[in-house]
Amino acid sequence: MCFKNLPVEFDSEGRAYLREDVRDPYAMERSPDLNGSAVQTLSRDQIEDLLARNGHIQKKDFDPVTRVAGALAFHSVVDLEERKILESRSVATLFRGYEIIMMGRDPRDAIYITSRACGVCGGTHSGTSALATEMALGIKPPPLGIVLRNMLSVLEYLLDLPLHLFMLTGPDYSENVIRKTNPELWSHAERTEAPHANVHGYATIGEIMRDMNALSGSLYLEALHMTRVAKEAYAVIGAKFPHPQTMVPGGVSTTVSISTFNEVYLRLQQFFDYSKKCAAIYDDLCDFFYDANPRYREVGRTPANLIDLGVWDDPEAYDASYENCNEWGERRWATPGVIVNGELVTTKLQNINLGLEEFIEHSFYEGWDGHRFETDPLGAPLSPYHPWNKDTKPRPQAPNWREKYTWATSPRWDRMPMDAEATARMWNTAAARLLPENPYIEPTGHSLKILIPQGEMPEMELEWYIPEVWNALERNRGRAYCVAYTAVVGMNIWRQGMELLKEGRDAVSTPFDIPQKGQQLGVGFWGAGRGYVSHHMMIEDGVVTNYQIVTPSTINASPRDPWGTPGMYEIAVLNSPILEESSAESFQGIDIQRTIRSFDPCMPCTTHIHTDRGVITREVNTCACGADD
Amino acid sequence: MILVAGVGYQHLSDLSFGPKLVERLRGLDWPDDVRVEDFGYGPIAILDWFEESPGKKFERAILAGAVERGRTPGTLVTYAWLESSPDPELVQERVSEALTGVISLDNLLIVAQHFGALPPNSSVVELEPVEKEWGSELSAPCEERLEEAVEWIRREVHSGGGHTGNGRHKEVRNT
Repeated sequence: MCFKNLPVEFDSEGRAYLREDVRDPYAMERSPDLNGSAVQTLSRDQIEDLLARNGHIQKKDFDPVTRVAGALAFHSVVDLEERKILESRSVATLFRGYEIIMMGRDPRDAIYITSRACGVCGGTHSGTSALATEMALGIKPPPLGIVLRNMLSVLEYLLDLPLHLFMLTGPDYSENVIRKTNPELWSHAERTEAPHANVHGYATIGEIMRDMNALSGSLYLEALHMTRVAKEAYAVIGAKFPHPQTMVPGGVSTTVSISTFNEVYLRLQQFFDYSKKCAAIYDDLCDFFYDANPRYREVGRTPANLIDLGVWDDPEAYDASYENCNEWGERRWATPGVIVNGELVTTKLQNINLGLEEFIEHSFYEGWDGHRFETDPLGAPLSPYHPWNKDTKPRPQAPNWREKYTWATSPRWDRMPMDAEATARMWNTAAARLLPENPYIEPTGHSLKILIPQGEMPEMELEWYIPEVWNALERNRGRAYCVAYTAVVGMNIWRQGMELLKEGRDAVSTPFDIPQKGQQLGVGFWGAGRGYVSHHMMIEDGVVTNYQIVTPSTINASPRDPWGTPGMYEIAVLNSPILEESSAESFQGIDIQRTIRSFDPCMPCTTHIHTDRGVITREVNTCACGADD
Repeated sequence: MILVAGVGYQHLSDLSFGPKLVERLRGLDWPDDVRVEDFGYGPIAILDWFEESPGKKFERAILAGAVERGRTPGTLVTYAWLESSPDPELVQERVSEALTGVISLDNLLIVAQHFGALPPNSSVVELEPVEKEWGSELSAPCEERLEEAVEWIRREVHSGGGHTGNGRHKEVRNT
């Protein structure tokens, strides 16, 4: 049984049903059991009192949080004497609105419109909307179409991961930052030998940090170059990046040959050595911080509650149906799953879907009435707060910490806050041990062994271990290993594609029609480079009548839920000690910034956001600190 | 060679001045050494473009787009982009935006300047937009500015890059 809070149980054949002894099964009166992972929060009155009475307790606001995609602000209250954080609030400052833009449109528009939700993972949204449409309309793509879509995701992640590791979060660990915030740590780094010097070529940790300097460091510049390599390969199949032109329901709209695969391989193989280097650098960095001060294990620590839908379909198993989603989901190169307090509780896509609810008590939206679908298409119980039942009703207003303060909603799984992560992909896969046999990846139950082919460096086996503590450094280490994992999944997919071509199975798409009558439901279960992405779609009489997108940053940046439990950014910051050595006057909040950036925030709103005052085409700053107390 | 490029998103009324200008310029005859490009995409990808041939061959560039700076709506400003080193924090901020999907003339100028991609002789054509809503057409005043911009670019191309601009001769940034 995977649910502890939702009153959903399973019969002997694994079919979900609602417990009969619960009168109002989805009522909010009962506080959920957070499995011992509840976080202490102070009330607004307590915070205000502390601020009024103590000069060393101060507000620290980041508006915007820089080096993240899109518009995110963060409000915190810090105790600079006790070196701890007393309050944290995550604020998505712009309304995305793609759910509203999609209303009344031809379902085929979704691949192009939802792609624009993000300037990095547009292809993910395009592909996820294709999956939702395929499920709604019963379209099964041919194997090569599935393989090519898988490859597009591989290449998108190979852009996204280095971007995060060395251009967005990387500078937080650079010489320039550490000299300013923790001068003693910098001196120590200069003297500390790097254990993996034979892989990455840096003799000391200080040398690594120097090359992580923004704009000038060679690791920064190399990452910039690698994003280009990934984009070039992406464009070979997708025609352009970040909004592919060839991703369609039913497969892809491009023809391919062995030359296409060779063009992709020439780029993919450049990630073999690069991925060895990424893992070695982050291993050395993480271990250095732990050795220098074990309290770095507490920076960004959260309960290990992770959610992921899995990615990279088996071309012979995926049939787009909800009926078979558990089977084809578990055949993916990344296993779907939910981790609660470090334990894998399900790998079934249907269960993940049933447990998902989205709350708006602290978000700039109105609630909705009714319970449109009491069950999913297989008859399993569905919450009124499930995306298939949700209506998006924006209600702009002044932020107020006691009430509503963000455009992000509060997605919860089994009423618990979750972390949507690239690393969740590896964690689920390692723990579930469901991966098909292959030459490159071996899950052991507690780790993932990744065999990276020879480049200029020899073949190398990396082993990523499920971490004992889940914190900012492990999120970054996980993403570093994810480069290797993604690259060798790319090799598996590449070999599948070549095999299909050899067999003459070169069809890439399945034609389909949009029925002009009736109601159809679909959901795309997929992931961005950062993690979890779902699109829930309802079609009626040929047009979209409901469309709901949940992204990793919706999950991670969520505000407090109806029971007062903070979202993951907020929990992670509350749990962080302040290890920065700066005085109150020069306080940078680097531990807070490292924590937030470790989630690889992507507030998907960088293009064409409409407000009452016109269209916004680049990030604008609001003032979170102006929120009414 | 001379590069003439428009920067901006599509279908955003006057904010699409750059792409609209490119459309108009492509319908005209130009000397063989003039290349008209649509730069309606991310500045980092444009850096990649500059690294490739013929990107490195340009001696001059004219970059055009709509930018909101609080001037009188419908104002057309032209100026020489003077070489100076942008503040590294500003560059990092703009690189992050560029990498995560924002298309903007300012970002392109700042990022390309930092990475040494801009030709030595570069000038800028900026429009202060009137209409900023969805729409495929320019407002009437900006339609007139489009024709003025075409004329200015034509003169600039034939003048040998003497910077006949009417605007600020200093680094710019959004405020």
